[in-house]
Amino acid sequence: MKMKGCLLALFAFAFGAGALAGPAGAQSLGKTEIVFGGAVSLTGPAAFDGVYYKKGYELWVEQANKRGGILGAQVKLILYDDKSSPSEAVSRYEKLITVDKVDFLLGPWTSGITAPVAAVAQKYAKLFVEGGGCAEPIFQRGNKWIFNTMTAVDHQHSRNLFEWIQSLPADRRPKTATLTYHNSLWAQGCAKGVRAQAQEAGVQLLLDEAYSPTMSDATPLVSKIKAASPDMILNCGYLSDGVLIVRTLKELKVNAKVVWMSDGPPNPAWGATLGELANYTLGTTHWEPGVPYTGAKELTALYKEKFNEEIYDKVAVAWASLQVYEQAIKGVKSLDQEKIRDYIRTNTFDLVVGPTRFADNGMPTISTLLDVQWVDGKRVVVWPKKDRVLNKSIEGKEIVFPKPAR
Amino acid sequence: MQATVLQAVITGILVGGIYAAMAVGLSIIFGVMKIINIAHAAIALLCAYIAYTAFTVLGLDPVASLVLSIPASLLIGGAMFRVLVRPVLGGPPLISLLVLFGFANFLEGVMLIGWAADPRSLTPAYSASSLQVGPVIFSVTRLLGFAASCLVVGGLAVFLRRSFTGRAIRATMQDQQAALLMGVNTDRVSMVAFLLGVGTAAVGGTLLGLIYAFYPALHLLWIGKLFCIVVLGGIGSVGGVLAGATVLGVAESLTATFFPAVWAELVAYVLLVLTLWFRPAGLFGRAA
Amino acid sequence: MRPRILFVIGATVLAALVPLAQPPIYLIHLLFVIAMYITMASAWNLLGGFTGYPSFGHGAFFGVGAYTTAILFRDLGLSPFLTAPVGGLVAAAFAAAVGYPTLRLREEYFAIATMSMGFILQLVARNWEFTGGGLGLYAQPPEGYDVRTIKSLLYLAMLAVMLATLLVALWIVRSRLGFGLAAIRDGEEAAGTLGVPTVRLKMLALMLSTFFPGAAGGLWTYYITYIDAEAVFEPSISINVILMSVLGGAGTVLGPVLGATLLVVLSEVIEFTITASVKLVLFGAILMAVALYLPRGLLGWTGRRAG
Repeated sequence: MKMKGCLLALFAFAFGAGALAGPAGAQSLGKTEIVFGGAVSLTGPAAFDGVYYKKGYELWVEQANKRGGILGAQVKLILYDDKSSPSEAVSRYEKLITVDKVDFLLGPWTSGITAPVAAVAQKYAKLFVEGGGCAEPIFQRGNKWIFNTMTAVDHQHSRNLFEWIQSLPADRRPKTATLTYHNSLWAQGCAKGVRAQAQEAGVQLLLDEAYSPTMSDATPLVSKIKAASPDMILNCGYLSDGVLIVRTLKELKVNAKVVWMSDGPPNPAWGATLGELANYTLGTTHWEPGVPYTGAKELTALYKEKFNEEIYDKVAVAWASLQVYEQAIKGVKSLDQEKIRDYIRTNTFDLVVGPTRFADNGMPTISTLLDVQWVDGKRVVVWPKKDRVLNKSIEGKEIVFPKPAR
Repeated sequence: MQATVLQAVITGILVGGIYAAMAVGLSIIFGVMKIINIAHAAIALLCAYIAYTAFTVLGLDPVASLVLSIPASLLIGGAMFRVLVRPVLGGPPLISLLVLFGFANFLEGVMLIGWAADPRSLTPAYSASSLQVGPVIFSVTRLLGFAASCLVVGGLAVFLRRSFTGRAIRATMQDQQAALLMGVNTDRVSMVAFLLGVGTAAVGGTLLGLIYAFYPALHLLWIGKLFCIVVLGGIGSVGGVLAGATVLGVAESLTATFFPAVWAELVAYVLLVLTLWFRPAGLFGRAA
Repeated sequence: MRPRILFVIGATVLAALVPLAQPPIYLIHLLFVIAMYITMASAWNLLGGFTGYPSFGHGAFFGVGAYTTAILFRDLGLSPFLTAPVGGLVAAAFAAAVGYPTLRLREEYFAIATMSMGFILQLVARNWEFTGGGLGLYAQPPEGYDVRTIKSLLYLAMLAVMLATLLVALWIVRSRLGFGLAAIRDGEEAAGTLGVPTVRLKMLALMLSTFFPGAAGGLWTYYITYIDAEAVFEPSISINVILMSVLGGAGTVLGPVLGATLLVVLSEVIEFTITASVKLVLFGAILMAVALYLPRGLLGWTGRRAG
C-alpha cells in the first residue's frame, strides 16, 4: 500500500487553480490546453504490454498537436507508472484527479488494474475511455462513465479458435485440451469462455487450473499438463507467464497439436524472447496492421517511422481511446464530462479498431478479434478469413496444424 | 501416477539441493553469531542479477559468472560485517534484525533501480533442455544447480571438519565462551563465518536464478524458505540443512503436483510456523 | 502524564476540525494516512515496545480487518463504518488463536514466526475464493455522496480509532498491566518467578495490539474502495510500522506518534519528487541508521520509558 499526499499539494493546488483559470486562448473552448492523464504498467510483469500503451498515447498526442490540437487547444499528456499493481494504480489515478486535475482519464493495462481504476473514475464522476480492460465484470457495475475500445469481451477471446475447430472435418478435430489460466480478472473471464466453447465443440477439458500471477516456476503446472497428454494446450494469461510455460513445455518435453495462448503471442517480444520455441504457437489479438479499418495502414507507417519497430495491437486500442475523446470533444465543442459522455453513447465512431457504437454498458458493439500464429519468426493472421464488421478479406495464412513435435 | 510422484520427488530433491546451498550460510551465521541474517536472500538475489547482467551484456554463462558474483558478495559481506553486523553483535536481537532488514530493503531498492521490477530469467543455451531417464525428466538447469550445490555444501562440510578455521567455527557454534578460553579469536571466526555464509548465498542465488524467474521483491519469498530450512534442520548443522532443504523441496513439489500449484508457496511458511510451535530445535539440531 | 492526555485529545480535536476549512482533498488524505499509521505504530508498540515482543508481521492484522469489512459489505451489505470494530475483533481473535503458541518463542523466533504469519495470510487471501481470490474485493460508497464528504467522514472515524489507541496506551503505561508488561520485557523469567501472570498479560497485550490495526484496516477498505491481497498484506506495512515506533521511541507513548508523522510525510515528499524504488533505498538506510545509532529512538532519548 503506497502512501500519498504532500504538503506541497497546497502549492500545487494554488498553481493548478491559477493555470486552469488562465487567459482564453482557444476560441471554442476557452482553454489553451487539454490534459489527458493516466497510469500504465511501465515496470513489473505487465510492462511488456504497458509500454505499448505509453507509445500509443504519446504518438497520438504528438500527431494531434501537429494538427493544431483539439479545437485549437494543445494536448498535454501526463503518464505515471503503476508498477503493474492495482493499488498503486488507484493511488496514481486519485492523484491525477485530485492533484493534477486532468481533464480526461486514459486507461491502464490489464483488467485487474482497470477494474479498481474504473471504480475511482466512477466515484469522482469522471469520463473513462479505456483500451486496457475488457473483462465483463467491469461493465456490470453500473458505471455510466466507462467506455472500452478493445472490441472484444473477455469470454470471447477463444471464439476464433473454436470456430476454426468446428470448421474442420470431424475426424481431424482435436478432442481434448488442458486449460490453465492466470489468477486474475480478465484471464478468469477468458477461461470461462474457453469452458463454454469447448463444451459446445465437444472438446474435453482434462485440466482446469489457475496459477499465481507471481508464478516463477511452471514445472508443477506443466507436469500436470504432461500427465494429461492433451491434443491442445490452452492458456489464458499474459506474456511473462506464457513465455515461462512455453519454455517449461520444452524442458519437460511436452508436445501437443495446438498450443494456444490468449495473450502473449501477438506481442513482438514473444518471438524475440522465445526464438525458435515460438514457432507455431497461436494467440489472439485485437488488431493487426492488415485489418481493413480506417487509418490502420497510416498508423502502422507512423508508428514504424517514430519508433522504428513493429506495431502491436495495444498501440491501436490506446490510439482508439483518444480518437473517441477527440471526436466527442469536437462533437459537443466543450469539455463537459456529462455532455461528452452522452455524445459517446449516441453516436457512431470510425476508429482505427473499426467503426462502432457503444452499448449501454460501455463496451463497443463490434467484435474484431483475430487469431495469429508464429511461423518462422513472423506473426501471421490465421482466423477469421474475413473481418466481422465489413466482411472484407483479411490477408492471412492457413493454420499449421498439427503443431510439429520437437 | 507413480511416474508423476517419482518426477515430483526427484524435482524436489534437485531443487532442495539448491536451497541447501543458499541456506547453509544462514545456518552457520546464526550458529556462530546468533544473528539472523534476514538480508541473506537479498544478497543471493543480487548475485542472480549480477549473473543476469553478465549474461546479457558479456554473454557469460551464469555458472561462469560466479567468478564475478562471489567476489562481489564477499566484498559486500565484508562491508556488511564491519558496518552493520559487528556493532550489533551481542546486543538485543531486535536491533540486529532491524539493521539487516533495513539492508535487505536497501538492496531491494537498488535492484529495483538497476533492473526494474520486470521478471528476469537466466537463459543460457541449455536452459530449456533436459535429459530423460526412464519415466523421469531431469531438467539440465536443475541438475547443474544440484551438482554445483553439492560441491559447495560438500566443500563447506569438509572445510568445517578438516581445516583449523573450520574447527574453530564449529567450536564457536557449540560454545562461544569455551572457544574463547581455548584461544579462538572469535571475532575473526565470526568474520570468516559471515563471509562464508554470504559467499555461499551468492552461489545459491545464481543457481536459483537459473531455474526460477526472479524480480526484486522475491527475496522476501526466498528468506521464508531459508528460515524454514534452518529451523527444520537445526542451527549450525550442515547435515541438518541438507535434510531440511530436501524435506522442503520435496514437500513443495508434491504439494504443487497434487493440489493447485499456488498452494506450494505456502509450504515453507506453514512448516516453519509448525516447527517453531512444536519442535523449535528442529528435526536434527541441538537444543537452541 | 496528564499533559500527555491533554495534548493527545487536544491535537485530535484540532485535527478533526480540519475538514471544516474545506482544504484540498489531498490534505485530508494525508492526514488520514498519518492517523492510520499512528494507530498502527502505537498498537504495534504495545506488544513490541512495552512488552518486548517485536512482531514482524503486524500488517497482517490490518489486512484481516480490511478483508473482514470487505466481506461483510459484500455478503451482508453492512457499512464499514459499522463493521470496522468487527474487523478489529476478528483480527484480535485470529491473533489470540495463533498467539498462544507463538508468544512462547524467543524474540528472534517470534519475529520470524510473525513474519511468516503475514505471508501465510497473504497467500490464503490471494487464492481462496471466499476472499475474492486474485480478483480482490470492492466496497464502494453509495452513489449520491460526494467524495469529499465520504473521505472526511472516514477521516473522522480514523481519528476516533487513533484516539482510542493512544488513550489505551496512556492508560496502560500507568497501570498494573503496564508494570507487568515492562517486567516481562526486562526479564520474563524473573517476572514469572515473582508471580507476574506472564501468559495472561502477554495475550492481553497481543489482543489490544491487534484490535486497533484491524479496525483501521476495516476503514481503509471503504476509503480505497478496492482491496486485494497484494495491497493490504504488503510486507512494507509491517516494516514501516516497526520503523515508525523505533524511530520515534519504542516503549514511549508519543514515540510512535512522532515516528509515524515524520515517516508518512517523508514518504509523500519522496514519492512526489523521486521514484518509489529510491524510497525503498532511503527507508532501508533510515532503518539501518536508526537501529545502529538511535536504537532508543528520538523520544526514547529524551522522554521517559513506559513503566
